[in-house]
Amino acid sequence: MNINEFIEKFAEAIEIEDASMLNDNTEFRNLPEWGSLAYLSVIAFMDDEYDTQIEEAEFKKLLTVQDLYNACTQK
Amino acid sequence: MSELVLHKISYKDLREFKYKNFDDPYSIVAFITDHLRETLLACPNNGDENKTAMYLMTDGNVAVGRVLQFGTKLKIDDEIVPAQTGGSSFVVEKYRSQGVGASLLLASKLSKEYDFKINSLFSEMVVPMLRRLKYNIFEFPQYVILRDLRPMLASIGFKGTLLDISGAVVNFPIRLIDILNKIKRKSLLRKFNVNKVVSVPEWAGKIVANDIHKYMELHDREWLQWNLDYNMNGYPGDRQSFYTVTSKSGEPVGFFMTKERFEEIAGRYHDILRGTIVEWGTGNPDVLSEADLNLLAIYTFTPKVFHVLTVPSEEKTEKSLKRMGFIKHGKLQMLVGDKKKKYSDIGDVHLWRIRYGSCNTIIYGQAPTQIS
Repeated sequence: MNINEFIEKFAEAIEIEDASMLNDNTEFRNLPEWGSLAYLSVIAFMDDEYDTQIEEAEFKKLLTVQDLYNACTQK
Repeated sequence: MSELVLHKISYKDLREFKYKNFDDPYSIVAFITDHLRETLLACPNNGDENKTAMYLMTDGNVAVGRVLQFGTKLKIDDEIVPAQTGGSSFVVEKYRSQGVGASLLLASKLSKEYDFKINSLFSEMVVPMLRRLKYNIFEFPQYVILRDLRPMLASIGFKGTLLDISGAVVNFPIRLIDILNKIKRKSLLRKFNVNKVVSVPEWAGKIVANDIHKYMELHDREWLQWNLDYNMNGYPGDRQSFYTVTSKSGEPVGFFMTKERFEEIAGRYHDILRGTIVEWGTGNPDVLSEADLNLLAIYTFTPKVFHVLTVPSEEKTEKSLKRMGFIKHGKLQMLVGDKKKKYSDIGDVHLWRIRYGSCNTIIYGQAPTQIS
């Protein structure tokens, strides 16, 4: 999955209707949709789509959509 | 400052009482009474003792949240697969805003111990989280028939002669419906024998396994026997009963299973005994229908039972239940997860065999409380 496909799936996971608002530099914690439910969705999405499990302490270091993508694809 | 740590308590830890090593001012761990511990350890589907019995969140060494887990089995066409179930989730109120509940749900979701998950009876509050976790969530209408309203009157202060007279008055409509139901029941008892048994016969498990639905939580003989022999709270008024339905010549025709649960506090009322028809099966629905089984079951409960709850699996049963005096009352929710996405139609509720007695509902006492 390339970064654009990842962004589509990420947008779907946190229920953003227009994925074109996002890019790899988007700081996802600043999105209005971000919250505890979105966090749950992203963790579940990373596990379901990429078989990636990430500790909370590691997740805190991820700031952008690119960071999330890298965490999923660089194992 | 909080130092929240998630712990996995295995079945081995449960057996060795290691879960008692935490400080427990909120009774998070004390919830696992000796009775509940025995119930969990006796579950026939846990398999490996290293599997998780409980996820526990602590702040320092203080237990602040938990969720229990145990094993079950799904039957998918002819394949039997292990699955995770559980419940009894609870988070201390002041920790709910810190995502403790979400962390507990995630721990369960991300566990690699099982490829499938099935749960029932969860708080409305967690439903948004469960949907975000991409579980399939099913909802089924529940039906309830009132049996004796006197406990309700007693719990609001009626006693003595006033209770007797008021009780007779409020119960009068119930007794009228009973007359009609008992006529129908009598005709069934002319065709069948209904016997209470303490040992679940093998044929009951086979009736379940031969159900036509593609998906089911497998209630085989071992599962039925476990649910018959154990419950969570161990109150004297809590009991489960299993009944066989046979022809007059002794041939197995069907079965049903019931539970009664005593609740010290039930909303505005107290000391209420609730009844549920948790499981049933028939070898031939044209001979003995789901509605017939529910009718036979109603009159096996303790006379003091406040109401009897059931969850019909067919629309035609719903119509029959209404004629018997049942009214629609709330919903039973279940969730199903297929981690590896092996079955594309697992989320189609019409393909599922549904019973109220699923997952942890039989061993449960009261409904689960909030997770966050």
